[in-house]
Amino acid sequence: MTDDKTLVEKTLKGEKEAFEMIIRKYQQPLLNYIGRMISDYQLALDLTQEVFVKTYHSLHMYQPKYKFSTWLYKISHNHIIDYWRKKKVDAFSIDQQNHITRPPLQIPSDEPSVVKQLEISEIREKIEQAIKKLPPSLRELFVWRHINELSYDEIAEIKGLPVGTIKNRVFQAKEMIRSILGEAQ
Amino acid sequence: MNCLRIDQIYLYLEKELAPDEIRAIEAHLASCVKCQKAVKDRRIFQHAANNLPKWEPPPDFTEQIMSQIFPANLSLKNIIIAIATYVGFLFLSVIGYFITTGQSFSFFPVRFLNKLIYSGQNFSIFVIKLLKSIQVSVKAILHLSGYLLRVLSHLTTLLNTEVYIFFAIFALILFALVFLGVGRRFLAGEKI
Repeated sequence: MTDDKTLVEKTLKGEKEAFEMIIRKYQQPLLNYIGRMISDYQLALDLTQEVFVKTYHSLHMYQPKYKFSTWLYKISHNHIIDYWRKKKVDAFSIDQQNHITRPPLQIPSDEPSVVKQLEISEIREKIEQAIKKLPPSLRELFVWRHINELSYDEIAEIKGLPVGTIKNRVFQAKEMIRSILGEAQ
Repeated sequence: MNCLRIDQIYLYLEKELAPDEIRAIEAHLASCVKCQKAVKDRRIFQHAANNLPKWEPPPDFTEQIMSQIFPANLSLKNIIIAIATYVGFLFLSVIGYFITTGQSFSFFPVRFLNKLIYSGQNFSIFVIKLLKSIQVSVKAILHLSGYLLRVLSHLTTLLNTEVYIFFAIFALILFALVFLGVGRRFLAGEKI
């Protein structure tokens, strides 16, 4: 399969088919990222389309020293913030970490099981519901890691943060989901 | 080794640790029930989180995006294809007409030329008639203008100086109203 950088070069030379291949490759991951962030399928389709249009028109600004996928996620991240700003949602909370309560580092002595006696499909359903309750900044990291299956290095590149920081925040997100699951039981 | 920290459990489950760290953790897990439970619980959770259902885009989603980026425009190639199709259709229709009516196709060019000449003649007659009617209209307007001028000159002999002054003042006021814009607003019924 042709790599992303070659596809970008071909698109810039006027080959429409190359950009079509980029769309086919990334439409599902972007739809899942945007969809999980805004919790609305139809709206996610619209925003995903807009992201691709924006990407096409900004393609001349892409620097090949960065991974194309991380650049695409960065555009999507900014597009979601723009959308929230227009809707007067607290768009800045996606980049803020101060309000997040840090979970304990040690395992509590009386920690209950949050997945006990649950079918895997039930756990998945509960995780889906819990994702919506996460602060946007943690939700985004969880989605990138577990739904888009990005590596910690890729997430760190998108966010411009150290890998260690990203790992800790993803763990925070998971612990927060676990505590939401525990509350629901 | 002390009990595991939560971040260590996740790093262990995600195979993000060095081999010696993994060995140390596994040695601890062999003897610590609390950590075993914590790891097991998070392993199931991690497995579920890694297998969340993916949202699927509609089948024509790529085409929708492509049509937004590259709206369909009439290229030269498409125009040529359209013209060729039209000409071909016309040609087939003509042949079809001659076949169904049983008329001789060999006379078609002569008949077509006759029709063309006849149409040309008709068009020339139409143009000449149009020019004539324009000429008549212009003559009528000129005659009417002449009558109007004669009527006005008769009126001047009938009216006295006061009436002239009155008409002159009235005309000046009307002129002023129109050019100051008041007259336009007033006539349009707008509030001044």
